[in-house]
Amino acid sequence: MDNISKELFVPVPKEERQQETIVRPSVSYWQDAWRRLKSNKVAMVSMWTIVFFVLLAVVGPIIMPYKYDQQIVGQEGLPPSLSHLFGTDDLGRDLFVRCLYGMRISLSIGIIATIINIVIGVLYGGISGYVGGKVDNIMMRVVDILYSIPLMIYVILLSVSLKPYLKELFDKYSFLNGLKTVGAPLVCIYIALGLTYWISMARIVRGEILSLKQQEYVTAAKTIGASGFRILLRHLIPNSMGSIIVTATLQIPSAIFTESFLSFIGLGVDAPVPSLGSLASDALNGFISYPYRLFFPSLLLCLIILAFNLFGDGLRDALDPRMRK
Amino acid sequence: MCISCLINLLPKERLCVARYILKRIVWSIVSLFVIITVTFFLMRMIPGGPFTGEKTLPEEILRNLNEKYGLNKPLAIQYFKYLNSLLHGDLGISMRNQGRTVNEIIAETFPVSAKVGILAIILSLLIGIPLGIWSAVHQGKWQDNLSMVIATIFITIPGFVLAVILMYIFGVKLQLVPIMGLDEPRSYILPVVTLAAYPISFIARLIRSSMLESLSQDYIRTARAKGLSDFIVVYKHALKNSLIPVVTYLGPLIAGVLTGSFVVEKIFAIPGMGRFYVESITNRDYSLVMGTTIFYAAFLIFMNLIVDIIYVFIDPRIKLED
Repeated sequence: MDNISKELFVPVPKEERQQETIVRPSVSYWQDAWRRLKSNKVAMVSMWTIVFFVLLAVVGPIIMPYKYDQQIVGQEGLPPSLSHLFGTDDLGRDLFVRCLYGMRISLSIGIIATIINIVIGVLYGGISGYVGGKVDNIMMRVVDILYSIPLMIYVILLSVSLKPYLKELFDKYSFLNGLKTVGAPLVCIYIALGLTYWISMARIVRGEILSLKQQEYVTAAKTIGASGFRILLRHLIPNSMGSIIVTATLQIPSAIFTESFLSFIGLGVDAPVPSLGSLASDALNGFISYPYRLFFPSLLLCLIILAFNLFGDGLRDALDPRMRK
Repeated sequence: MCISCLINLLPKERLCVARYILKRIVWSIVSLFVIITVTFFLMRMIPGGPFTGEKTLPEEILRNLNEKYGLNKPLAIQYFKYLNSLLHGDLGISMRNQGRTVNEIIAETFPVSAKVGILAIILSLLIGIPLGIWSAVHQGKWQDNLSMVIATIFITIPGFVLAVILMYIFGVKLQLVPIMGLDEPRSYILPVVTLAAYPISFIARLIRSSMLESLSQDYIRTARAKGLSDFIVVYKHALKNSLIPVVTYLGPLIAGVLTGSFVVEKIFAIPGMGRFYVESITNRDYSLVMGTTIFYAAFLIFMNLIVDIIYVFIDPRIKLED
């Protein structure tokens, strides 16, 4: 006791105290991800490309002097020029406006189909992973069965068999007029894609939930009496948001691709509504004389798909550094 | 190889493998049954039969036609009749192509598609694997960047766009290859390359990442420490394990080539099954759509089954009891 002298108990000098304080504000998961994303040049370029295309698709058809189905008499089959950037088709329709409108259709399909499949996939995968046991087993068997066949075949079958029903439905009920203007074939593709693409989402969400539900905070929530559904919605799903967002972003281009594929084989949108796929398909007949008619919609399609793919890759790196390759 | 593997296993493991295979077979049959049912009812849901169309047929002829194809019977009876004939390997009669059975049409068109498809798969493996190795071995250098840029581009370009670009450059401008049909060996080039473009890129990326992973493993360091040449280390030790993901990709690869054929056969006017399938949908030829869908489904399920079984023997690390 004697060798403890009083001078050992002096207050900490000011400089030393400041060294101990946390200078930087704490960074949340999303802020951290955003910072990582910002430093990824490829992802940022893709992000601005996507923003640019979305703006173009939304605003473009409104400010252009022509409509997508307007036939300008006397200006049929023109090559690209200043008044018609991409030229006109055989019926005298401005191809630039048609491409912009087609982009709108393609993007809307990508986004709506993805929203539908997030809702179905997250709930399905979430319930399957959280409940576990027999329920999980049965639910995953169903997914396995669906998974063993290429989605394209389901999409084709669904869009063929839903189309007449939707048409009838739209004619019968006037409150569906909004959907009617979108067109039965398009709604059909939304539904068909939404109903099939959730499978991989469900698998990924299930995997996440399976590992997350072992965490302490879930036990803590259980002990204070939170219901299973609440734990799922408030704790587990928000915590697996990273992989949900990445999967969804990467599904947008594949939905756009599927739509263009369907339009190309003649099962997509009905004329005169254009989509990038149907524009390319229309151009196929005269592509030896008018290669640019095929070139422009195809180029836009490739750019959109590429931008979404690269952005999705960037997002994955930013949201989950462990998955980085 | 498989048989010798099976014999080498311990009795207990052998039983395990056998049980796994049996389980997979049972599930394949269940899947197929579900798909048959779904397809049947989806096709029957469509209002307006196959005979309502461009010209309205006289009432009596329509009735006779419906009777001939059993379309006037209750749905449940039609369904069981269909199942029964499927069990006998009979896919029905095409409603639009007069007097031809679905079996005949498949027998005639499937080999055409299969030839193109097999060539595409071989090509994608032959180019994709070396490309992936090349880029993994030169990780971070220009070779790596170049091959990954190429791979990204070909993953992005939709098949039909690529088909038309290739057709325009090599068929129309340079006139090196015919642009239609399959009359001579040269005419296989464009369809096969179009179908293989996406798988090549995918396999290259797959091999690259799995190769990078294997190259960082301890056993590779051991092999290098023993003084083995780079060539042996890369091609004998690392490659063996890196090929496993490619085996799992074989199932999706076959499916992708199959759906790709819908477009490629349309563009290059190839009389294959994909073109028939698309045509039968636009013609509302119920029995042909059902027959081909079920055939496709059975084919793919069978292929997936084979891939899964091969996988068990290739990768002993796989857990069978899950």
